[in-house]
Amino acid sequence: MKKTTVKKIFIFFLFFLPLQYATVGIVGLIASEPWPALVLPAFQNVDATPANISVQKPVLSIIDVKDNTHSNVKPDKLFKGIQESQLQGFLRTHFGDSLKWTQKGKNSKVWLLNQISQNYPSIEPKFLKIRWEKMHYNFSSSPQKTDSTQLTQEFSISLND
Amino acid sequence: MIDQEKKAAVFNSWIFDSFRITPEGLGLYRIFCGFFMLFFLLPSIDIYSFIGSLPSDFFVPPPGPMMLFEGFPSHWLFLILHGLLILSLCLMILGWRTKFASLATGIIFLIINGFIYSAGKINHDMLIIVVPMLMAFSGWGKAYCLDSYLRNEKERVHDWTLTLLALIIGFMFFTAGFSKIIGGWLDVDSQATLGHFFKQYFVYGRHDLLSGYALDISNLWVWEFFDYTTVLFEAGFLLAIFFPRSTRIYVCLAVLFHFSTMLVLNITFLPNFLAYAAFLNWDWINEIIKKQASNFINYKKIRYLLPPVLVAAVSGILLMLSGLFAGVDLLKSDWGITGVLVVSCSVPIAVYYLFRQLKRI
Repeated sequence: MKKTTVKKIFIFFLFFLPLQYATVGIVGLIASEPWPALVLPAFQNVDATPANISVQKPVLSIIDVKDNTHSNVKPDKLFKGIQESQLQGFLRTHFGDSLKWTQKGKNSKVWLLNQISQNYPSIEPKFLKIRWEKMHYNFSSSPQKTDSTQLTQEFSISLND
Repeated sequence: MIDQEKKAAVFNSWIFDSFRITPEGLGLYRIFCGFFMLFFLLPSIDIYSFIGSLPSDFFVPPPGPMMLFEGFPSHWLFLILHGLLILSLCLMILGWRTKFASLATGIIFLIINGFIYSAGKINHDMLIIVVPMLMAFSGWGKAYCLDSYLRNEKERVHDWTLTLLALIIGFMFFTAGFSKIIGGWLDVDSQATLGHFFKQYFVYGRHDLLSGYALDISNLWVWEFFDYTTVLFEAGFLLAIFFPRSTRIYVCLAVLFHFSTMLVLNITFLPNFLAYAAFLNWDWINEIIKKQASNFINYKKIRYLLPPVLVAAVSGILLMLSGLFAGVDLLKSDWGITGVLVVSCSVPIAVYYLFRQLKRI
């Protein structure tokens, strides 16, 4: 390859890299983060002060048809096979609120039933209940204990109709 | 006029003289990359059956080329792609049609990851794709490969690809650092690292290595120090890549950065190590092995082949160790022992290399 061609490649990248980063930022604001892009994870969000560090966690449970008992289910077991680095994102995207689920068709319900019967065969599901809990910690006083827990979202997916 | 020429000369020297490497050195790096991807970076087979089973309602492609598709391919197509990926990696290691095999590796990774990320979460592991696709043009198939043996190609290597790789790594780190600045990491009233640590600890249940001790660090200035050093390190990478020595120093620091992240947050990020390894002194590794071998091996051909065999052996030992430790219940949380092993093994190399670079200064 000629030296001038190589120099042109470098000049292209010197312009392309910031441009694609700007695109990632703009598209990310309007829709969601584009892919593929030459960026590293930003961990941008800061939702913590010494008096209030809050983290959000999904709690999943299945209500049994037979006796209406609640059985807590582990998301990594229910959605066995997904990479652990993707599980929380997957839950947020598809089970973040009831609206996200109602937009899905019947196939999704069949798939979910299949996941339950494969990974929790002893349960005959009536509903899948999803609770998003925001736990608040006060680092200044007792970092190891939850200061308070706030329910941010709760909905059930009917599986028996 | 003279000033213009001077600038052009500096630009030329940065591109073409920053990272000198021989075909043998690049060949060793190619073999290392092939084994590293084959052993540690391939997607798990389990994910294919999961993604392949998802109905199209779950297909939420990120803005980009994946929007051209309407759903997930079947489990079988994923397995075929996985098979092709293994084949292209094997060809890359052997060095047969190396350029084609390297490009194919990058493209197959791109397709598989594109579908996996269309399930709702992007992983920022683009360096898995960038390294083979960029190095395909480096001439890393000019030594220790079937291509050079069968065709007797004597083309020189394009070491400017290493400068370009450094530029891409530096810029990618800069994006992470800059986004943190915008996000408020430098605000002394907020605790970014602490917040992310709590997320890892309490949401993901990452309670391994030093995370329990980190929970006891009550001095907020320590956590604020982590915020500042993270941002300075990440954003500063972009300046470092304009000088070869500072690039190498920064790469060593990056290994230590990942090591500390692993100890406290229990996160390992292996794809980057593939790119960091490009800045190891492969020529020195090649020479030292040959020199040592000359003391007890008389056959020139065997001596010549010893460096790639040793690189393969070291990769194999790492794989065996990770398999061995996987059987032992060392970690309480869900992340893999492989990452811990690879990152831990990289630390002594990075420290040694860092001291060597600093000594020269």
